[in-house]
Formats: sequence, structure tokens, C-alpha cells
Amino acid sequence: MPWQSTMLIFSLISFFVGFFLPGQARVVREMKQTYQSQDPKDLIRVIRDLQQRKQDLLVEETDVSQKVMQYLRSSDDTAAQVRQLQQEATVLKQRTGAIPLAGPGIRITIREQSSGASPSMLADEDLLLLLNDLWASGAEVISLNGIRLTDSTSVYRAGLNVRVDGKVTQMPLVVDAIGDTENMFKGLQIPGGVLDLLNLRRIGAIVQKVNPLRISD
Amino acid sequence: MITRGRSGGIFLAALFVMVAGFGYLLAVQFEPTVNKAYVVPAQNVELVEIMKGLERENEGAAQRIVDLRGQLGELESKGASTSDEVRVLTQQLRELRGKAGLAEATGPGVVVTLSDSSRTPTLSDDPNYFVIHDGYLRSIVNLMRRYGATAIAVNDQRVLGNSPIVCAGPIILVNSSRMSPPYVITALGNPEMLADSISQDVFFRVLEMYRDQFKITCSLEKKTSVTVPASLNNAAFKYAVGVK
Repeated sequence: MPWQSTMLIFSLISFFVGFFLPGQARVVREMKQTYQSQDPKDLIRVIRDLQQRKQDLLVEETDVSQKVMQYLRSSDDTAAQVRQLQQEATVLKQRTGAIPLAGPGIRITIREQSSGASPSMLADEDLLLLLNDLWASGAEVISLNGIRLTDSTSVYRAGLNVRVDGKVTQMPLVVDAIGDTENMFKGLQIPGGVLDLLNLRRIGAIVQKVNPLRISD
Repeated sequence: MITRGRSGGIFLAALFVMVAGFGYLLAVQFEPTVNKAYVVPAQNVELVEIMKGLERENEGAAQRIVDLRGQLGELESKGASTSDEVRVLTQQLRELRGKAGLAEATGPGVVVTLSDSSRTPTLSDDPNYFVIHDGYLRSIVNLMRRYGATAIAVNDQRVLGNSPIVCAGPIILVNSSRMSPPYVITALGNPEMLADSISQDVFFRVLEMYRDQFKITCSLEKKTSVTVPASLNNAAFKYAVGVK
């Protein structure tokens, strides 16, 4: 092949490399940003969550809208206003942990294997994942060894103990959750879920349905 | 002829290096694409449209809730002037709403920012170290609570005790709402206490190590004033009932 032809081919290759690589990088980046490159299963999961969010927002919108209407109707009726305010105060006291609660739920008893050459231990991340899965599948109130979780509660291991809301408690850990029992039960049984993860690490977790379950303030 | 032969050899060696380098670059560039990620399934276009449509609807609903709550607050303020009993109850209700996360909160605090790496992982890298996982957000939120945070938000979502933080593949959802990086985790509380404690925690130090090694974004800032939005969830329980 003549020397000039080789140079020409080489130059063309160099040109196309330089020309197309930045373009390819841009396309890949844009596809990542538009989410169109995601696994359809993930997108369906996101859509289900957004539909759930839509339902949740509708409940709140309807509730606040009704309160506004009631207030407008009772503008001259002090007794009716007092009733409305007291009702909402009761709901909020239940939410913030000032009132003991009862309802259907599940109890999970978690035991570590303390014997053997390599004892298993529940990690902070395991516990956070378990609680997160319960909230995501319909738990309304949760307690750990009788200590109710609130908006400011942190949970973490402190040596062999577990600290819940600053209070020290020991293993085994009893997790009580009031809420959508069937959904919580199903959520925990998902293959590859938190219970499988615990079992693989030889941490025993027994799940029972309990009705009624009581969680104190 | 000798000169030409030598320069021809150098040229061929250079060509070999160029072509090999080109092949390597192409392999690195296209490696994620050959698995599955960037072959766009036909239904994805439709799914993304549905997703965006729902997000628009939810944004509209969120704004209507904020407006309605504002209207209710005004009515309650007017009502409070009618009797002492209503005034005391209205004040009590405002405090309870704040405690339940149903009111916006402003004050000193800290901001932790996390984001995926700007660097593309090579074939020898584990890509897991280059992205922010839902578990990181859960752990940071838990740390903030541990060190005294009184209100927390991730991006525009208020995080309450019962707020799930989950993932669907690479997409993180908080309160069933899709989050986009950077993930800005805002906490109200004593900035000194929060910043000193979080920065010394082992988990945060691991994230800083990932930042240095894998170029993820991980920063912690003290702020004299931060604002955490109100939760838009309804406070009432469906299953749990009050008992004496």
C-alpha cells in the first residue's frame, strides 16, 4: 500500500475517533439523566410509589379541605370550633407519641447467634433496613423492646446493646409494628429482602401476626 | 531508504498504540452499554411519560395542600379572637403541628450533600462505590437524629420517623417521591454539635474516604439558618387507635 494511502486512512481513523467519542459520552450522559435507559421494572416500581404518593396527597387534601369547610360553617359557633380543634389535637397527640395505641400488627423477634467461632451480630444498617421496610409496607407505629419510635428517634448498636432514642436495651430485640398487617408480612417475605439477609448472616428473625398489638407512649 | 524504513517502523508502532488505545477507549466507553443499560426498551418512553405525568399531578396536589393549610391557618387565627378557649386550643394545635412535622421549620442547622461520582468507573472498578445508595441517606438521617436534629429533610421532602427511603434500581425515593442527585440532607439543630459529631462518626468518615478515592460528592456545612419543609402527609392513623 502506498505510504500516502496509509497516512490518509490513519488520519481518517483519528478524525472519527476525535469526532465521535465526545458525542457518545454526551448521549450516554443524557440517557442517564432522562431515565429512559433504566430497567423497566425499576420504572414500574417508581410509578407505583408515585401512585401511592398521589393517594396519600389526596387524603390530606380532602381532610384539610373538609376542615376549611367546617370552619367556614362554624364561624359563629364557638362550641363547634372547639370540637374541631380538639379532634385534630387528639390525632396529633396520637401521631407524636403522647397517647398509647393499639391495633393489628406484626411482631418480629430477632436473636443473634452468640455461640460458635464467629458469632453473628445485628448491624445498624440491618436494623435501619428492617424499620425502613416496615414503614414502606404500611407500618403506622413501631416500638423496639417496648420503646416507641418517634420522629427524632435514632437506633444504633452500642457494643452488645442497642440504643433506641438514647435508651439502652438488649438483644433479643422485639420489634412491634401496628399497621397494614398483610402488606407488612408480605413485604418482609420478599426474596432477597431484609429477612433473607438476616438469615444468611445467621441472625434469627421470627415473624408473628398479633391482633391487637399495644404500643405505649 | 534506511531512514524511511526506520520512520515506517516508528509509524507502525505509533499506529499500533493508537489503534490499541482506541480499542481500549471504546471498550471503556461502551462497556456499560453492552450489558443492558443503554438499550432503550420500547416501553420505557411510555413509562417515563407516565412517571412525569404523575409527578406533575403530585406537585399540583402538594401546592393545593399548602394553599389549603394557609387558608385554614387564617381561619383559625380569626377564630382565636372569638374566645379564650379557642385561642388556647389553636395555640396548642400549632405546637402539635410543629411537633408532628406538619409545619415548615427554620433555624440554625447543618447540610450534608451527597452525589454520585463525576468519574466514570473503569472495567477494574466496582461501580457500587461511585453512586449514592438509599442506605447512605438512611444512615445520615439516623446520625442526624442521634446528634440532636429536630427536623430533617432530603431535598424537598420532610423526613419523619415513618418516612421510607427506598431505591428502585439507581433511583432513590423518599416519601414515595423520586429524588434527583445531589441529595441535600438538611437538619435543624445545634450546628456545632451536629457538625462535630457527624464528621467524627465512622460512617461519615467512610463516605469521605469514598469521596477521596471514587470522587463522590460528600460535604458537611454548618448553617446559621436552614428551612425544612412541612410534611404533606395526613397525620391520622388508619389501623392504630388510641387506648387508655
